[in-house]
Amino acid sequence: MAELSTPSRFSLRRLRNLPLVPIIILLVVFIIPAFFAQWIAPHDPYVPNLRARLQPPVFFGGTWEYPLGTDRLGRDILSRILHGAWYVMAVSMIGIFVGVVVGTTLGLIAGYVRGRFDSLVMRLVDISLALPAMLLALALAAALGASFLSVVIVVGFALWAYFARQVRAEVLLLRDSDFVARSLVAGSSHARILFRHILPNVVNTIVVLATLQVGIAIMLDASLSFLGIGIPRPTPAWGLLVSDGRDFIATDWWIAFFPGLAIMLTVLSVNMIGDWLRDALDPRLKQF
Amino acid sequence: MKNPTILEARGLSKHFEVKDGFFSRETKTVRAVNDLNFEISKGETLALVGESGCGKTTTTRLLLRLQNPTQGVINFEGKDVHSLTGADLKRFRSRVQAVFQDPWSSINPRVRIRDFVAEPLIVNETLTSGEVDRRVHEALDAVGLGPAHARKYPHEFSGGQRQRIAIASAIVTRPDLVILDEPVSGLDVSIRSQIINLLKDMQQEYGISYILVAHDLATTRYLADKVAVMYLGSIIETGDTDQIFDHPRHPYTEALLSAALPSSPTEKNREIVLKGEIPSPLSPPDGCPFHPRCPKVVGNICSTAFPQLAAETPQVQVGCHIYK
Amino acid sequence: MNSQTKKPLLEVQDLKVEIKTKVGSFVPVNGHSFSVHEGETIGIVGESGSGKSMTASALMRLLPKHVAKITEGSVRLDGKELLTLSEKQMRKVRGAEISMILQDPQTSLNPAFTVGSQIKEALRLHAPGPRRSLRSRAIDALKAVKVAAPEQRIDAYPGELSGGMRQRVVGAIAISCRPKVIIADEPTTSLDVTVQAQYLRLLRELQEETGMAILFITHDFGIVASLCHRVLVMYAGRIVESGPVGKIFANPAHPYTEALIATVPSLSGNQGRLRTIPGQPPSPAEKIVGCPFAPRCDYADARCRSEAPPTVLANGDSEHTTSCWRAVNQ
Repeated sequence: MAELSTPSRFSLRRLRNLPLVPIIILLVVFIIPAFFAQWIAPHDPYVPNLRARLQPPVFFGGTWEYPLGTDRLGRDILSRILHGAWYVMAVSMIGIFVGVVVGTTLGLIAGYVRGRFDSLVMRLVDISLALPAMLLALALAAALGASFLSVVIVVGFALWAYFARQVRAEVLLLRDSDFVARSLVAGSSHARILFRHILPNVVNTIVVLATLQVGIAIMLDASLSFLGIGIPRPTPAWGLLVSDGRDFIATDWWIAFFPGLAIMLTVLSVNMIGDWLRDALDPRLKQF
Repeated sequence: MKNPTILEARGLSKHFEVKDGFFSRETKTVRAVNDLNFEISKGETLALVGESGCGKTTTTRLLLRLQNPTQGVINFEGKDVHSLTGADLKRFRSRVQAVFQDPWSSINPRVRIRDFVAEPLIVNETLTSGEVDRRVHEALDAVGLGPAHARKYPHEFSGGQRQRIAIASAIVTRPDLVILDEPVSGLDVSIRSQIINLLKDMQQEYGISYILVAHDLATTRYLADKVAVMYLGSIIETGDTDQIFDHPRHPYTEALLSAALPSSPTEKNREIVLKGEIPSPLSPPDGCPFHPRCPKVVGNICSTAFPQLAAETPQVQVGCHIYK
Repeated sequence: MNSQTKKPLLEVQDLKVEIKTKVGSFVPVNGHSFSVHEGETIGIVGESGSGKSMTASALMRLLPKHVAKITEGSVRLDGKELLTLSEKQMRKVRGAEISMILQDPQTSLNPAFTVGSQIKEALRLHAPGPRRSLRSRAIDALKAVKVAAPEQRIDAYPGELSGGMRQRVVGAIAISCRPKVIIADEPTTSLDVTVQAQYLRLLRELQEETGMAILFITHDFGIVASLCHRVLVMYAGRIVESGPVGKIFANPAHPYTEALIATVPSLSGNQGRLRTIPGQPPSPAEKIVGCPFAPRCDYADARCRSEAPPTVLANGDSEHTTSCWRAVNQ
């Protein structure tokens, strides 16, 4: 009913629907460990302790000394997951940052100037979306060697096209809006229009998309590590931890299970928070 | 006493190339605007009247330098608008402003009112922040909004208030000319007369000229000194508003005015219902663009020769073969 | 046209619609009572938020589920109560006995189907017959709304037609089953002036042929003046005045009607400064005490601001009612 639409505004009402469970899970599994692993991890994640090899988790015949069990070198799984969180967060955040900066810049300009530059960018987007990230990762690993940098580049490269495409689509619409015409008539420069009038109106989209991409970035990083073309050992990246447990899955399941669970819980809660954010920031969704 | 001309259009045309179908490589030319000539004096209101596809929107976009003409010139203070650069362009941008139809889409929702109203000042003049504030408060005051509103965001205002804000922003540089693109049709009926009166007050106060585009003929009559009636990209009748409304000469003007709704049931005038619809500008008819629908065709000449505008009275020009 | 002698086709009594939202509930349709007779056009005039579209949806029983609800009242179509019908029974009535023309011809036709198939669908639902005759009946429906070359146009897609032509097709669908009542919700807002004139004339002609009753929702007093026999003026969910068009224009009883007519510039020119109504209409969610128009009314006194006025006869005329304390005092 168009008659009832009231101007949308951000209000406390929206905060009532905060997705509390995903936020708590994310804090416990990902964010707090990422920043405080050094102080909360019970053991050193790197030092082997051969006397304590392959201890099962507590309640499965193990002890509270190693709550999630140990791996074949006797390293504490819990401590390794906690320390790995920092690395996973760094890769996904920096990777997404690269994707956002590259994708938004190209999308903004392509949507605004249109014409040849737009066609060029959109073809690059098509190519980038058609090219499997794994293939690129293999190539980069071969060229640069597997390193933190190459993982960040792969993540950024895998994601920029989504941002470029989405931002361009919105800029195309905004460019024809009356307020942009009004601003041109007022005498504003193109830079002013882009940064003062168009960019603020696509920020919501970028934030939501970036949140939803955290899950993809983590999965991508985990897959790269699992395949051995991610960051090299001994960094306890979660994908590497799963990969380490692969050979023991039939006998000592916990080595792969708990890192896998951490990946799943993190990605799931990030996605749920992203969905909520999309609804909360979307002015088209009325409060009825 | 004749006021000085501040803007004139000479032979103004705008043609677009469009693809002739989705798979076709051939293009067709749409003559959106064809050989327009008009001028506007200081403190005067010129209205462009016509139905969809008549080219009035394209004309305003050309006047605002949002599009370039295919042919012809627009002179503002004697200089061709479309070849202005540097300081001259800045001057044009601060002297000519616009108010758009939809008060919801013409204000950036993420900018404070103060910054929205101040934009034409900030980008064209070098003023201290205090001076900008003073000018913004003056403009808001002139449209009947208090300075306290300057800090708010657009969503806190109703449609009528938003249109006042848009007008404040259009007058903040004290321009010579404001283009009004359907300034009241996006508003509630009980709000419209407030805005119409405000526009009139602004004109008297600051001597602004208006170019008005409105489909509501009664509003046009109320606000405009001169009208230009457009059909399929051409002006077919132009001149003094009262003369044209009281005594339309072109058959299209006559039909258009007769189709306007009465303001009371006693005012029922004889309604001329035209046959057919406005032809597509992709394939305009030869000769007079109006002849396929015209109830007063005088002969072959209507479908073969384009009728040029000619003076019927000192204040009215008509383009119709009836008058030759 | 004397409405008293013809039979009433649509009778609405004390209709009330409530909307519940997270922010609270409000009543966009507050106790409407009116009737529409055979061959009569009644105009519902109001601004955005006055509840005029909500009234139309309520009559069609097409209110958004889970949000809006009819809480009171009765709607009788040719003697049959609509509010107690099951959803299935109501579907049979909708389109066949009461139908609707919406504001935007762009969105009320499905762009993926031809004009003909959309008319035939309406016919098949309510008046099934052999396949062959369906097509010729669809062509008849297009002829009825004066579409030129209906045999060709029937195979056209909506995108190939102009706005005026599309609105005619919408009209053809609405009248294809010969409904008794048509609700037209601002059908001409998106049309050009000359096309609007053609369309209004078409509605008048169709009405003369079929005797259908028309409920015309609009914000434009000009349309009311040229098309309607009677008019209901709505403000903030209430009918503030109703009566024959001539009487309301000549002698408006409610200050809102009076001001609204006076604010519209005249085509014949020579007016001084336009009259204005101060302020703005209340938002639907606003709590209203007393007369909803009191904050903008020149005549409002203390009672207007505290007590809602009853609906009374205006000037002792049995056809003309208003809801204003000034009329009570007369």
